Amino acid sequence: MDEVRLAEYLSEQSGETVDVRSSQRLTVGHSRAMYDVDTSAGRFVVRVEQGGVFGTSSAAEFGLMQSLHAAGFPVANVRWLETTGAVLGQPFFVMDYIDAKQPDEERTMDVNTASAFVRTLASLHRLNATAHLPLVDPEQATHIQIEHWRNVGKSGGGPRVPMLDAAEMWLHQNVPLASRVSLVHGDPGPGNVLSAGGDVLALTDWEFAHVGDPAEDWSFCVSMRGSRTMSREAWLALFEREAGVRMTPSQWDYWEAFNLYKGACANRTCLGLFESGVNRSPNMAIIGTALHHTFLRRLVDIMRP
Amino acid sequence: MSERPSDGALWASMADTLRCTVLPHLTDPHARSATIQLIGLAVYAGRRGSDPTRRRQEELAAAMGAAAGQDVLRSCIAVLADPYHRAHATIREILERHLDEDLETEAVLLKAFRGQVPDG
Repeated sequence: MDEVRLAEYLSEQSGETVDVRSSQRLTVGHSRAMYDVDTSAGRFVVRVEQGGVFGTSSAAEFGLMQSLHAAGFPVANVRWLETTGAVLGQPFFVMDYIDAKQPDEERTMDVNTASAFVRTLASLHRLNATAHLPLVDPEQATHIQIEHWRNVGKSGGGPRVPMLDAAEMWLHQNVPLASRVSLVHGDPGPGNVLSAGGDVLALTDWEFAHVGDPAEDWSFCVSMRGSRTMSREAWLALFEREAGVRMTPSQWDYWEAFNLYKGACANRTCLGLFESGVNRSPNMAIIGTALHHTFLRRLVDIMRP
Repeated sequence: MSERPSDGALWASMADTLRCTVLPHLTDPHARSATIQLIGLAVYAGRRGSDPTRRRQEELAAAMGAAAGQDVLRSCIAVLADPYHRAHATIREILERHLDEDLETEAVLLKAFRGQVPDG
């Protein structure tokens, strides 16, 4: 982190001289480098892109967080967006630091916080989506997402992955009928919750947010993010108790396959970035190979005839 | 023995030095995490062997016969999309085996990604 350049930028944006006293990289997250920055103007988190990992944009994330914060939804207050890369070498945005229990590696979460998190996610799904993001035809919403992730996966280059293409076709052919669409977080789980005293202070990491079927979020939480926190059965019981969420086994399977496909496509971008030299962090090579293949293996098992 | 060190020895030296000399002195969580992942990459690089891409494509082409065409992977997609194709089950089985081979080779990377220092 170039603290001098950051101090100049913060001074320009705030209209007062800002000194950066310290910056500490947080270990959470792979698509963005997150820094806890202490300054003379307060404590901030700086969220820096990493060369286009997962094909997501800071500008879209910043805009949505701004809109949600204005609506009173628990997200960090975002301050400034830098899209050119001229300051820190990559686009980034600055948000207020939230004094909360930070998610740990094991994603532990007590039952009160887990319940509050599930209620918060359900409340996101009840918001008027069109107040925050463009309207999407419910019948096309999932097809649009499959297509989006296909393009993200292909954007990384590399050879064809026949199993991934087969999964794309399978997902299109088996899309459940959506009764409604809502704001979807896209990456919900215990690792993306800031909490204190059993209350959710903020949901974090909004880069995958979109309008779609809320079933995607419930499945993502239980199958991609929450397995280290509690059992699948415990999550499903919590979803039903706190949010009235019920799905058939085949619906759970579909959404798990969808999220594995999403993850496999997103992870594939990392190999291209590593190979091209845009991002040579070792986690890029690991996500682009081992994690990509892990997701693909689980996906293939779900699609087994 | 050659006049120069082998790739295997170089990668092993990299992994061993990072594990025994560098890592014990790191306290910053991000630096530790990145170093453990780097050890994983070094162990993986030293053990993974030659690139299997060509051998795999030849195996897939042989299983599809004339249907393989010029672009073997593209042809695989067409075969996978047609459950009645005579090579459907075979191609699927081969691709799954290739996937499992990759996962076996990459197990050390997953271990490192989870924060466990890889051996060897």
